[in-house]
Amino acid sequence: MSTLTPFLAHLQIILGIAFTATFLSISILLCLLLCVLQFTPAIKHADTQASYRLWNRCFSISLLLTFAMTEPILLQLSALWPTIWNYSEGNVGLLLFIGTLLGMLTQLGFLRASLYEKYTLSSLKHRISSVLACISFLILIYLALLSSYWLIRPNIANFSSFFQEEIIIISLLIIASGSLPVGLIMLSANAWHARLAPLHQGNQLIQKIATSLTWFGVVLFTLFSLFIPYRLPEFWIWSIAQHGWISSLFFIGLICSLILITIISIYYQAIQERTVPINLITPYATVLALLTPACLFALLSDYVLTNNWAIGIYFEGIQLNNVLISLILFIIIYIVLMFAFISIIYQSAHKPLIERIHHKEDQ
Amino acid sequence: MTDILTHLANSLGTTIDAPDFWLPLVCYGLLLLTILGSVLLEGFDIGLGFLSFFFGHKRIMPLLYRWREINQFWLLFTLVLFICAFPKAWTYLAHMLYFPLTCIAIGSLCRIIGYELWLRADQASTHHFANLFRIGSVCTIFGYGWTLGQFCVSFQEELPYQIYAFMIALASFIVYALVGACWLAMRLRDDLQRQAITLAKYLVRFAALAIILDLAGLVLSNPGILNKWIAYTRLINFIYYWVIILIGFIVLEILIKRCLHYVHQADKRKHAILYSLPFATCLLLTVIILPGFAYSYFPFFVYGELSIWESISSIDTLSILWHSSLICLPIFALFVLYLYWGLWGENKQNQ
Repeated sequence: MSTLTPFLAHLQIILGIAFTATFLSISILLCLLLCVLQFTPAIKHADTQASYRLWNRCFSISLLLTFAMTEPILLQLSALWPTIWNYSEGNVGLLLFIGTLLGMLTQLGFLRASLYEKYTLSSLKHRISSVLACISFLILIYLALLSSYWLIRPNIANFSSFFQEEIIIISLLIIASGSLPVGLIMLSANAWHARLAPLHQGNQLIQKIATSLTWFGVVLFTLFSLFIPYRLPEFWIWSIAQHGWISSLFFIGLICSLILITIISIYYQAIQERTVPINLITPYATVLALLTPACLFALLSDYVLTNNWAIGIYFEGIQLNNVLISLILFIIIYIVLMFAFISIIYQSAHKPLIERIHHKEDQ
Repeated sequence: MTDILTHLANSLGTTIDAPDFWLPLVCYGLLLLTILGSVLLEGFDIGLGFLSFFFGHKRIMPLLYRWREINQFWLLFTLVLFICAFPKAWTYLAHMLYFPLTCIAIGSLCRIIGYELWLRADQASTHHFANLFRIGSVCTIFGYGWTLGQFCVSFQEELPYQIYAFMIALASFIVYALVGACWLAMRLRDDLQRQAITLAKYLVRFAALAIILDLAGLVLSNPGILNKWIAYTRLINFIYYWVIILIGFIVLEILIKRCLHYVHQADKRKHAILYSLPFATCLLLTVIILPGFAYSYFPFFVYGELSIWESISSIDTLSILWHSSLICLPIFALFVLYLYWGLWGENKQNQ
């Protein structure tokens, strides 16, 4: 019983972090992709605009999920490890305060039109706000990582220095790690759409981008899993011993992604001509897309937390039943939200998104 | 007031104009202001989430559209401000409030995502996401109510106190439903308005009882707080406070009955101000009641154990927070004003 309670407490926190990190990586990559797409000549075409609207919707849901998760993570961390805020002499709190204000500026200011689908693609205002949103979003990720770093390693953190190369590299890795889920979700939504109608020009462009992203993602995650032991020597031994099923899920996901992208690349032309029933595997591809990076994020976060916090997650006084109940509730919510996310993307892929979502206000 | 502050400063071995005395006090004020703002501006939203169980999501949820985007931030903003300014108090409270905080976390997540997915879903599947939003609202109300209950019983863990806190959590559903119903009465001019006013008429006395339950629990469960309210000449203030709250609820009931009387008339536009008054009275009562809670605990976060000055991590952090607030808060206040513009009065889109 004494070992089960901290294990469940750890599990509750790492699942929250993994869920958030996965959607964060999807959001930032889509934000950058959509911003770039706006400045290409292809955006003038109606089909590309339809694709833009679909992936803008995916981005908005993903970003809202990410932002919505910050409160539960803060509350979970605070409830399960109450002393966490005492180590950093208020610096982390200050960073969180600045980050919250920046988050509000990003969501309610720069991204307001995109998130609530009230934009005109050709307008300069929308393009400028997209660029500003990308910049503020990148700063936000940097601040979030810096505050995590200060929390995890208060003894060696330099609170006077806001600029840390290590954090910039990790930020870039988080953006790059979005390539596997974004690529696979795009591919599966396209295949789902291909079941009903031929892929139009916009979808074909997305198909190309998605194939490249998925290959990049598979290679990146493979390299990542191979090179992690150079930085964290005991990582895989520790992961398999502590979280065998999460490690297995990661490797199975990675292998399946590799097989899937190989099949899609071989039958690329046939998919476009709808002669291969690739859509049969698409729902599984989307689940894979979300689970594979989430597993790695979960393992990495637990490894870092366990090996850097001198005392581990504080759990004294919190009973096993309480942790178990809240863990079960959170797992149910994560599963519901993942399937809700997938179902909305598939629903949206069925028809062109020409209506603005606020039409529901006038009903 | 100055006497009390001077006395407090002297007891801490400092002076009233020393930053290590007034900075925590100012940040405490900011925190209270944020909590008050969130209760005033987000309360109706949470209440309507709960009421959508009875009035149906197709009518209720579109009404919330304009304020959902800003309402998502109140909890996060309050949490971060609390953590930033008073990390030690947060540490203590977070540990004491494990389940209420879990309820609030689940509620907040379900409300945000439920609403956003509801906006984007096909007509056939909107009810799933509406249910997510409703469940989130129930969890949020219960979590907030439970937290308030724990404060009212001064975090005492014995079973009778916990049952009392649980009763306060249940009673908070009535209060939130009343606020939501009064907002609907102000906002709509159709059959739903009549239903909302009728519901408010039934709820108002129970809401008054719920507030009495809260305040009585707060005063009676802790001798220190009781002493603070009734000792010496303060008893008269205590009586005034209760009388004002009582009058507030009587006025609210009269206003609701007047609204119900006029709601059957053909030209409802004549009484636009009257329909706004119950909601305004609810807000006014909140503005009166919340400072009472703050006064009861002042200058402590956990009565007799952890004061405002013991809860900070460093004066430097508070100083940065205060200076950044001086720049950010006026902008933030204007932005909030802009976003909440149109909250008051009738919903023109329903005409």
